[in-house]
Parts: sequence; C-alpha cells; structure tokens
Amino acid sequence: MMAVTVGALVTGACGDGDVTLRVMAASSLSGAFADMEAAFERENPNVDVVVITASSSALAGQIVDGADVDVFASADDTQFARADEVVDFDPPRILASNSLVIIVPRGNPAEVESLVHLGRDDVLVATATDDVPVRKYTDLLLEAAGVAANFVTFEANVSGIVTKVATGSVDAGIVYTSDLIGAEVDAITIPADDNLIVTYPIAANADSSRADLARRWVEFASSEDGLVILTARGFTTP
Amino acid sequence: MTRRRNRPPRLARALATIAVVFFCLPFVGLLWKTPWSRMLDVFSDASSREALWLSMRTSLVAALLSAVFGVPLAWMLATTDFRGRNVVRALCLISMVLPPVVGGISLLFSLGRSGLFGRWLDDWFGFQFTFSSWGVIVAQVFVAMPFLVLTVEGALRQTDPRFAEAARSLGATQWYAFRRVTVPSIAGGLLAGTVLAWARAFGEFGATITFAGNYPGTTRTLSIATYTSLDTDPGRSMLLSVMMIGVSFVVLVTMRDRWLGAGERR
Repeated sequence: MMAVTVGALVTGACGDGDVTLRVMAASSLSGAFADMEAAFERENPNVDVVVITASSSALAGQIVDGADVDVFASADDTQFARADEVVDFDPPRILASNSLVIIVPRGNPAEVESLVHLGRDDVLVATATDDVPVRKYTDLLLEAAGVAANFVTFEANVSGIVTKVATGSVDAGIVYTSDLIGAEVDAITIPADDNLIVTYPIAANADSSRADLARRWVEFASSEDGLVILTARGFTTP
Repeated sequence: MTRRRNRPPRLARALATIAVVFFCLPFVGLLWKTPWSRMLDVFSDASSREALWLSMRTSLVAALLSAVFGVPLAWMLATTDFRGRNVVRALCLISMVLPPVVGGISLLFSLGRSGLFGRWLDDWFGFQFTFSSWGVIVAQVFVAMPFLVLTVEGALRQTDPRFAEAARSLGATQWYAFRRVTVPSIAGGLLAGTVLAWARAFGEFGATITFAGNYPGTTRTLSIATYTSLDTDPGRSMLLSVMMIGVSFVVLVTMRDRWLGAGERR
C-alpha cells in the first residue's frame, strides 16, 4: 500500500511524451532553446525534449562522466572537444555567434563607460571561474585593453554574473550580447575592433539510440525557424 | 538508573538497517572513486588550506553568534506565552527547510549592496556584507541558528521551571536565575545545538555563494571550493569532499546520546 503510494508520487510528474530527447546547451542558449523546445514538441508530439543548461565546462564534465546526452551545444570549441573525446558526436556545425558586452546595474551608478574603467579601484567587477568560457573571453578582452579588473567574485556561470550586476552587488561584468535579452541591466557596447566573436558548435550524438531524432533537433535549430528564435534572443546567425 | 533494554521487533531492525546502508552507500562510492594518491598534494596546497581555514573561522563565529542570539530566542519561545508565538517560531525556523539559495536571494535583496537595508550600510559606513567573510558568516547564521534554537527549546521544555522559580524566590534576578540555574540545566542541549549549528554552518553552500559570492580567501569556503573544482578537476573535488566529511564526522561522533535525549533531568 505504502509502496504503491510512494511509486505513484515518484512517477506522477512524468508520463507525457514517448521519447525523451536530452539536449545539453550552454547557459547562454537557455532562452533560445526553451523557445525551440516548445516549437519542436509541437511539431513532434510524441517527443519530450529535456533541455539541460549549465556552463559549457560543467556540461562537458557531465558528458565525460557518462551523462546521457543526445545533442550538445557548447559556447566554446575547447569544451566541445573535451566532450567529443568520450562521445562520438557528428562533425559539429556552427549554430550561432555572439559577441561580448559590458553590463552595469540600471542607471550605471559607477559611471562605467569602457573596458578601461573596469580597472578603476572603485569599480567592483563580477566574472566567472577560470574554466567557464565567458571568463576566458573576458580575460582576452581585458588583456588586449591592458586592464587589470577589480574582480570581487567568480561565479559558476554567466547567469551568476548577470544576477550580481542586476542586483547591484557589483558595478560591472562582461557577458554575451545575448544575455541582455530580459536582463534588468544597462549595456555598454564594446567597439567591434576590441570585441570578440564567439561561435557555438552544435552536434548530435551519433552513438545515441535516438541519433536520428537528435539530428532532427540540430536541423531544426539551424533551420529558418530556429534562426528566427536565435536572432530574437540576441544571437548573430551564420 | 537501570534501563530496560527492549530488543526492537525484527521489521524495525530490518528497516533501520536499510536506512543505515542508505546513508553509507554514497560515502562508500565516493571513497572508492577518490584518487588517494593525490591526497597529500591536494590537502597541503595553499588554496585547499585557505578554503578549510576560512570555513573553520566563519563556521565557528557563526556557531558562536547563533548561541548568543539563539539561546535567548529559544528561552523566549519555550517559557513565555505571547500572542503570535507560533508565527514567530515559524519565521525563525523557516530557513531550516528553505532551499539555502532562497535564503541567499533574500539576503541579497535585504542586506546586499543595493538591498533594502544593505544600501544604507554602504552609504553610511562604506561597509558591505557581499564579497566579505562577514557575508559568509551572515549566510551561515541564517541557515544554522534554527538548529540551535530548536534543540535548546526542546531542552528548555524538559527542564523543571520550578528550579528557576525557587532561585527567584530566594532573591535572584530573572537574568541571574537564567544564567546560573536554567543555562547549566540545559548544558547538554546547548552543546548539541551549538555543534549542530556549527556543522550546518561548516557545510553551508547555497546561501553563501548566492549572497557572499566566490572569492579565494574571503568567501570561497571549503564547500564552494569543492563545487568550483567539480567541473575542472573532479579528483580534487572528491578529496575536498572527503575532507569535509572527515571534519564533520569527527565533530558529530563526539556528540553524546545524552545531549540529545531525555537523560537531561537529574
């Protein structure tokens, strides 16, 4: 009797969708992939898409540890290559690209105007830990500008940076342009000459029992419909 | 005192055994996977020691602050009868059951640099909890104090109030009676509550990373260091986990049965 109750409680939440497709995507893609999930499930009613988002490094780590994955969309090539070493992914294609932007709390209390201002002592800056792609890009930009930023916290992923800026806990941070969509922050553009283009490789897991479905997702993401969603979410599409 | 030892029914023993196995299995799995050959390197490197030392310092201060404020709170909840007592108790204990990240978000919007109250601290004193070790301690006290309050309130309810009343009838002030009669009579519960609060503070993660951030030396505690290294260096993460388990286990093992139980009344 109790076993039945417990069983019902545990399984009660699931049960819709016959096939589950596990899509792992860099945090910055979470909004776009949520939109795509809804559209894809409308077209494929017997499929339940589960989008798992975290920093690309965290996802690559999970894949290396044997996590079940059908599609992987990474925010950098290194992390994709790391996952590709243990899982037989199809040759990746470039799904979208992104650039970087300085974000500040609404009203820009510290009056940050450029990369150089991130080196001011009174400007508190949030970034991510070493292994998160956005940190790598941030370091490249700052190095090129000759700036030693006043980092006060190393967040686990990009959304951590956005939160610390949006709540005014810090004065600035560097994130992807696509992170601006829906974020309660102001943006300071980084001129194209000083900026970077970040590309997102995506690939289906060829070894998965759902490889065909996984390829359909990749096709869908790079289709006209997919690109409209990506553009609306602030990405540049190839 | 003699205690009658009942042999528990077989079913109870079986279920209890399953529970024990359930608690042990994850640790067995961790210990089996841990790269022991790297233990000395990881335990002795500067960043691990920095994180351990930070966790020790902050959790001890948090346990102390929990006792200083928590004992009077528990005493009020246990001995006085005021309107809305259940509401007050629920408010003070709710952080026990909340996901710590919810506590962290709430702290951010109240005591953070732009928070409702935090902005005044910044404007008037140039002081910020966020990104400082004090922020870590605030987060730890927020989640840990309820463990002390609950334990001490339980102990207070088991003491005989007549002893304190007798002391007062002999001329002791209320404060003197509390300090010299009530507190000694709940010493076991107080110790147990403090140890539990310390252990909870030592292991705190979600509220800390949300509210205080993640910076080596000031806010990267051992639990945050464990999480931070999980993606890049899982072996290191496992060894840091072993370190946390070891420290917490040694402390909890010293907790005596009688601190928790009814053996209090002499």
